[in-house]
Amino acid sequence: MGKLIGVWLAFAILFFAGPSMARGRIVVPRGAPLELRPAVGNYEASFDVKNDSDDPLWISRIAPRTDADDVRLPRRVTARFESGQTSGTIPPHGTARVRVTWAPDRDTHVRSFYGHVMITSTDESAGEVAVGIAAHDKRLGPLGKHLLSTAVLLPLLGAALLALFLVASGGGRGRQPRVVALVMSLACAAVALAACAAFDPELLRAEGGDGFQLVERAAFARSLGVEMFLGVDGVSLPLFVVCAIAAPCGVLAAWEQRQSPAVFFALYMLLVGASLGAIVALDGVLFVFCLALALAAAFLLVGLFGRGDARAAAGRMLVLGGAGLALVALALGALHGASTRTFLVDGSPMPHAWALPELARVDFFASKATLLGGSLAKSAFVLSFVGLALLGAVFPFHAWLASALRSAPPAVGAMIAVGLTRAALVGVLRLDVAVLPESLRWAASAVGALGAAGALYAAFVAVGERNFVSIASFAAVSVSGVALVGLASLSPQAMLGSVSALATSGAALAAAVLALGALRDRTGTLEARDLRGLGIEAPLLACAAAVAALACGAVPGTAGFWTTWLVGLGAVVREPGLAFAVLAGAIVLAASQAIPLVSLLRGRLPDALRRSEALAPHGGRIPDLRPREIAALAPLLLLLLVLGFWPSPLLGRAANTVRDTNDLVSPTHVE
Amino acid sequence: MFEVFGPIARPAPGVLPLLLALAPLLGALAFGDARLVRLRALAALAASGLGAVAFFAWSFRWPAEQRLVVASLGVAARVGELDLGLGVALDPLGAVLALAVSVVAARLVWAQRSRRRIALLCAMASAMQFVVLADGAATLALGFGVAALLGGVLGRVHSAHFVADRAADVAWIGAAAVLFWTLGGSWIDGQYAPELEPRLVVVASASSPKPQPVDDDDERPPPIARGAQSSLSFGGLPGAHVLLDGAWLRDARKHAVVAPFADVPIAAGAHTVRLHVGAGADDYFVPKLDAPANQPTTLALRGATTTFREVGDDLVARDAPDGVAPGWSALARRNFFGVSAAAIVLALLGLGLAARARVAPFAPSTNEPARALAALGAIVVLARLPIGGAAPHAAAFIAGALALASLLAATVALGGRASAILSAEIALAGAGAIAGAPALAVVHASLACVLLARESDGGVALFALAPTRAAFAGACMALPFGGLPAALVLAASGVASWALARRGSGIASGAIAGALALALAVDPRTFGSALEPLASRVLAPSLRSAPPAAAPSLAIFGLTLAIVTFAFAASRRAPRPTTAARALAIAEAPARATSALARAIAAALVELETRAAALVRAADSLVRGVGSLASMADEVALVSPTKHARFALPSERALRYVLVPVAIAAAALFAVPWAS
Repeated sequence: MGKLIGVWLAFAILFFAGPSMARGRIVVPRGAPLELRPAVGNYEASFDVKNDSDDPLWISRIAPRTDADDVRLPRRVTARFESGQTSGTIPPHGTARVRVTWAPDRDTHVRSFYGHVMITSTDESAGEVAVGIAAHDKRLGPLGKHLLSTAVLLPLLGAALLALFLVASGGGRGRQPRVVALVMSLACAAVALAACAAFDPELLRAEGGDGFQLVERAAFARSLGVEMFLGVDGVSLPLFVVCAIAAPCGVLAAWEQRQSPAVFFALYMLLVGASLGAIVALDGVLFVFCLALALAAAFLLVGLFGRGDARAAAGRMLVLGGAGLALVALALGALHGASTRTFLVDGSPMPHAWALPELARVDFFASKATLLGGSLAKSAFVLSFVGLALLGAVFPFHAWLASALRSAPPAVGAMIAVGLTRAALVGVLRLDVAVLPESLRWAASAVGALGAAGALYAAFVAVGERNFVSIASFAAVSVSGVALVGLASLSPQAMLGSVSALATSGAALAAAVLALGALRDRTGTLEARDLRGLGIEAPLLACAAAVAALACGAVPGTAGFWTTWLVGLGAVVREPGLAFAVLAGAIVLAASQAIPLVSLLRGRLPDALRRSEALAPHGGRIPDLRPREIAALAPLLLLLLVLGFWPSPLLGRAANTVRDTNDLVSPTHVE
Repeated sequence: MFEVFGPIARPAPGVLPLLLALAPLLGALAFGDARLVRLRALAALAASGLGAVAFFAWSFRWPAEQRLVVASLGVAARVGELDLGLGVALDPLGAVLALAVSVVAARLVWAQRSRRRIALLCAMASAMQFVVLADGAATLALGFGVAALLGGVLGRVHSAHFVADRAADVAWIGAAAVLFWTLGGSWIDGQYAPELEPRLVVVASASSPKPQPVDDDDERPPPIARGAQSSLSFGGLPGAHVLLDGAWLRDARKHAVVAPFADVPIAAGAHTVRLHVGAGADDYFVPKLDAPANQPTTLALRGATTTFREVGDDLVARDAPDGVAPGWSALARRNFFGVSAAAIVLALLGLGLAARARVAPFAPSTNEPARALAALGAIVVLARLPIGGAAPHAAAFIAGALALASLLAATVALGGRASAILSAEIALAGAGAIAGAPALAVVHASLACVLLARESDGGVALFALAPTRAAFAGACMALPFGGLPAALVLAASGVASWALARRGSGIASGAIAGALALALAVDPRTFGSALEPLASRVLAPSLRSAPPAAAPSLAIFGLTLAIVTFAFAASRRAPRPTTAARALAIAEAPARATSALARAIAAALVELETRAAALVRAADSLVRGVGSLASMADEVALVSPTKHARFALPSERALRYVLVPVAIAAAALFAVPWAS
């Protein structure tokens, strides 16, 4: 009995007095995250924990920042003192070495990660301390570590070079601007394709890293807690690749830009880079910054280089897009303010988070925080949704799209279609679905109804439109509505359809804008009543326009077909009414494309057009596509056709991300 | 231990279906002079057709459930339970249809002189081969969509055709969606409740003896001899890798097995099976698989699917344990928001079929010969999906409606619209398929193609085949009720009437002779107890069609006779100078007696048709009107508020100095990861 009491007493003394005796000051390395290096099948690194005081420091726990309920890191990442313990005492002014090891599973799909090792000590002033760690797959070399930032950087570098050239040359005429733009955009497309090849479609969120791959993370404004945080998942990767492929197509389409080519291409590359940046941005501030940059570049391009009432179109885009950005910024700021303590990539503690994956961990719906008099989760959802819908030209906030595309140079219109608007819709998935899943569930019926109304309304408007670019842009608005129905139906099949819509409808609209731009360059008009007989006059151009129009109409054999299929099939299970509306909208959309397309391709060229000034230099005939124009159109058209027959490269890469996302939002798990 | 017993299809992987489908594409190579192009196209089509014939003849050497070869082209989308596979499958029915496509396409190519049109026809024939050989809804929809587009390029297509095709797509998507979810669960009080049964089950083939339940606990199954062998087959989840007892399953050549696979040797005894399907879905497990010695074991997927043979397998798996033929009870019981799911599926399929096949009122223009191929494929949708008996009342209703539509279309033909005969044929074929008579579907669809291929011969020539058509339809229908003698008498009378009419084609006579030969080739002993139509046993053993409902069958037969009457009445308008034609007129005296009545009804129906067409035009105008209004509203309500938002734009000189820092700063921002 006495022995037992002795043991208890010793234990109590150790438990209570041990920590109180050790009141040291912890110092851990700061700066770039600790890089784990390959070592005999494992990845390893070590760092020193220093006790910078005259008292001993009691480390009660060292562990990677991950657990079964919140998987942040891949399995089998461990952190221990060199002694093998996960706790211990560091003497005054002493150090202890911590070894971090990652022993990847044989069948793991994780190739790289960023994370933290958490250290809990008796240093109450420091609280829980984090040390950033990272591991990268070495197979792709140094570039493999920076695929995303390189792809974004290249067009921005092109823009900077062109801007410098502009100042240096005092005007920037000649061939150099377009060559620089083409080289940079081709390099960007090549890097994006490399990123696509490096993407592992089988990675699941449960394996760590929030399901993101090719992640790059660096702190650049510590005081504000803003990071350069980039990454792709199955949602953003297809759009990223399509946008990068569209970039050189636009350069080729604008090859004969006469008015201020250096300014034009500098702004164009800025638009490309900012759009790509917004698509892969995982930090809220970075996302808004990129969108703002893209919007500004698009405004200047349309306003300065557009035709017709370009200033009005650019102004409308800026007003509505700017309002959207403001709403998104407001919502993000409110969510940031209500978020909990987090750490930057290097382990610096921050009271609140900007990183979207960190915001996604906060249960805003359960919090009592308010915004504009309502629940924060609901208000932020509404604000961000409306804001992103304004930028993404989703019904009923689509007013700027048709006029902007009508006025914009074809290259700019294409990049607005596939870059700016689609990046905003990626924001809907990042912010309104991943960060605020309960809010989406709360608003699912309204979002679905809005989407269905948009799908039908835009399809009807397209039937009534007589300008080919307007018809194509309303088709894109209609497909955006379909995508919203897919999101709101909360089934993985429909969500996959929505993700597919992001990339395919953007690519289809971009291809249509480029093809119609070539037609407008020849005829000076895109009014349906003025154009007929293209099939005989210019078969290649007719073929390109037809494929683009069919892709906009999402007919079988083109990539958009699978959107209708998946959303229709997936939405039936929960929202049969919305599914019916979407399918009805698909028929009306087909009518909107078929009526003008048949009249465009068949018949004979109207005499008035044949005698017009536009065709006079060509002897009253419409010249067919030139090799440069074919090169500009072929990649997008081929992409649309290939994905129409074999959608697996797109849908297969998105499937696991969609399942993970659906797990977040689905009230009852129906697969 | 087997979980399910029944005639599950055991497909063998192979490239033959793919070769048959792609062969016509060789004819689409349009280089060389027109004669060479035509010869090449005919050779390619002949290769496709002969391949189908060879498979048809060869397949009867195999057991019934093995007469199926599949070629997987990958997966369009795989997420959750949805496995939208792209693949083609060849069974005897598919072979007959592929032959029909080749023959019809060859007939169309033969009449062509333009290289471009020959190439387009061959491409369309290839698309249609994908349709008739489609293994699932995705391939079918894709093939049909492409074929429709090519048909549009070939024909003088109204934009409404394009819209009708899209309506067909949409209807089939709806049908596939309802069928998919209905197979995987049910709606209870408006909420979908998925089934919680295992998806992957072990099935004993129909030929295996069903083991008796063991009553005595002490009595154990006989021990399996050491070294005893069994085999494993699985026809679903294309691309899935198989782990048997934790190790990759390998075939005889030690290659890792990838689904679909057939008769891969495994050791007899207990195993665990895991199917790793990759991104989009969890792995599938069979915790215990008892492979009996010297007996094949088949794995099958249950529940939600869009693959046709898996739909059949699923229904077998649900209903076969009762020891009876598939009764479709599982599907018939399911409701979709209060309405029979089977009825909705059938109605949507029928709608899609009508739109695809240009059944009135989806046919605003005439003369579209290339649509013959599309028309054939439309039937396949119904013939391939074994849901005819899923809801007897719904099937009877829809079959009756289609038969009525055929009557309507036939009356229009009296007014000189030759393409309406196609509508009649298609509707009759659809009605036959729904009523559980695939033979009727095949005969009518084939004749529809032949008729349209001969459209240039004029409408009267089409009518000449009507008695033959009716006779064969009657033969198929009469078989269950009157037996072989009645069927043969009707068939023979059909041939005789056709011969008397002396208006037909070699293709038609070949098709008819072939049908007769098939009828005679079947063991007559099976007729006494068989309720299934003749050709469903011969041509489509892999289809487990339900017994035909007597009422719709008789109704269709009656309506077919009525059409014959109309056709005869019309044909009387044409001069028939020959004695044979006069003999035909005497032989068809009973029909003449009712022609007066028929004319009166025809007039009424023509009027109805005209009004239906007017309704379609009105709907078209309505859509355009609503579109114009919506466009104006969009301009006024949404665009106007921002119409005058004009901002001052910077000059180029000013822009230069703004661009430099902005671009450099942005580039520097994204260079941060490199720097760190």
